[in-house]
Amino acid sequence: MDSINVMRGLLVQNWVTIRSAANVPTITQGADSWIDLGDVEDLVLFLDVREVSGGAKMVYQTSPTKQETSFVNMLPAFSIATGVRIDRVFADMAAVPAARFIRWQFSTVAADVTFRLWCATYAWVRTA
Amino acid sequence: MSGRTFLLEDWITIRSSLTNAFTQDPGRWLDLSGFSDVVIWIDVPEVTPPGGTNTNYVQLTLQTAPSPDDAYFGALAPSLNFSTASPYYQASVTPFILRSAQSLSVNNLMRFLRWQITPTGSGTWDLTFRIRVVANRSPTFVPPLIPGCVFWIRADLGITPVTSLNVTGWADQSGSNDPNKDLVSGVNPALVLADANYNNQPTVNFAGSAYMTTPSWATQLVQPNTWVIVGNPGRAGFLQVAIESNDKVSGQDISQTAGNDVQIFTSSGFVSSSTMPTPGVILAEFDGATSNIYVNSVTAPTAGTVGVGGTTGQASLTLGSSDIAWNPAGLNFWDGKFAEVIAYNAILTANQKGLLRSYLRGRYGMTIS
Repeated sequence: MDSINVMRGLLVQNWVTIRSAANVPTITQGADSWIDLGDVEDLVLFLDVREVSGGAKMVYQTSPTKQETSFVNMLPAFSIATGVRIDRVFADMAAVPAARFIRWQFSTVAADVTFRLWCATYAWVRTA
Repeated sequence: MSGRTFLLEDWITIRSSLTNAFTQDPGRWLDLSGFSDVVIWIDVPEVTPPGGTNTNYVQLTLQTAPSPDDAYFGALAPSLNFSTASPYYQASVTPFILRSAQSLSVNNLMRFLRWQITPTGSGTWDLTFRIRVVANRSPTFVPPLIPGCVFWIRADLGITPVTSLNVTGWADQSGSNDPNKDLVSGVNPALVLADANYNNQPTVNFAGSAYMTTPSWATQLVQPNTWVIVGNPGRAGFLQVAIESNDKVSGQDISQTAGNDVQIFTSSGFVSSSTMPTPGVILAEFDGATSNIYVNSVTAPTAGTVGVGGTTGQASLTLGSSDIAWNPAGLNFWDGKFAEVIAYNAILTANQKGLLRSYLRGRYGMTIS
């Protein structure tokens, strides 16, 4: 089978400010906005953060189905800092490569973050 | 499901008092032609071990074969043993995730994929599960894909026994198929099934008293050579030896010093200026007068010398203690864990080291660059 690796840029989350209360430890991206990756195997995630407070953390999650209990972390949670953070999740190296759906989850209490999340995706496409 | 995501088995409960294996019906096996690797997502919300006895277990194995002939099927990944208490996996709302890997203890992905369940023990048992498969066209990276790999152990592969946390054997996966490189325990270390410090991958805990040795090391491993250790010493302020080889003249060793630095040694020593974090990676280049130590990719400030070592090849290797051939009771035990140990019979190029770091970063969630 001949195949080529095709890149496509996806906006996972447009500019948004998320502010959590003391009694809400996690806020997860809305299910309507989860990305269905289809044939995508490799990802590069670009998190652009313009403001953060309160020690907020972010994690990227994936699952083969839209079932809440199925989602697991693709990468360990990280502390959010201003600037652009780049994370790579490649199928040949990752402990948990991207499955069909991906989403973000914000965790902490009494914190806020203003961010945008882009994703460059790489899919193997059959050409013959 | 769609694309490269497949449902191998929807929710099902298998309940029986028989002790024979149950194999998935051939009509449901997956034909994965065109894919190189799979990631298996297994949901197990309930298990009853045979007779309700928590020392019994139900084993779930993913099997693969190049043809539908039953005789060709072999394990794709290490089996999961389910019961209601340690050392077995227990029912969970979080999926269990398995990856295929090119190694000696499991088969590469072949064309067909199926599940098999085998109870161990007598009495009625059941297992409720669902299995989803995410297939990839890019093959999984493993360290032997870099030329010159002469030794590779990883805590999810080649461990014996699989039904106990007491590790008595840890088989080399480098592909040399040399049983003289398979570690056997002097004092058993303990398997950690999912270590939170290592991205929930398994580790082996040597805990300051365990050690393992190779029966002998027939292969010549003269300098230059490279060793990679993924683990952590676990206790500050004490000399702790990760590996030491016995070549009858001057064996190689890698250790944490009492000053918490990393030292490599052959006929002379050379100390890094970086302490070992958790999780940590030591990459040690034994190359006569121009040796190097990288601790989580930070290079020792200047290259040092470790001497050239013996020329008779390494007769044996001790993991977790000073060389047992010289110190039969063990000495300077490693009071921590190992997730993986790799050795190459060459100095790796910058690109090869980068590839290895990408692999370790992905597998263990490390922040090495």
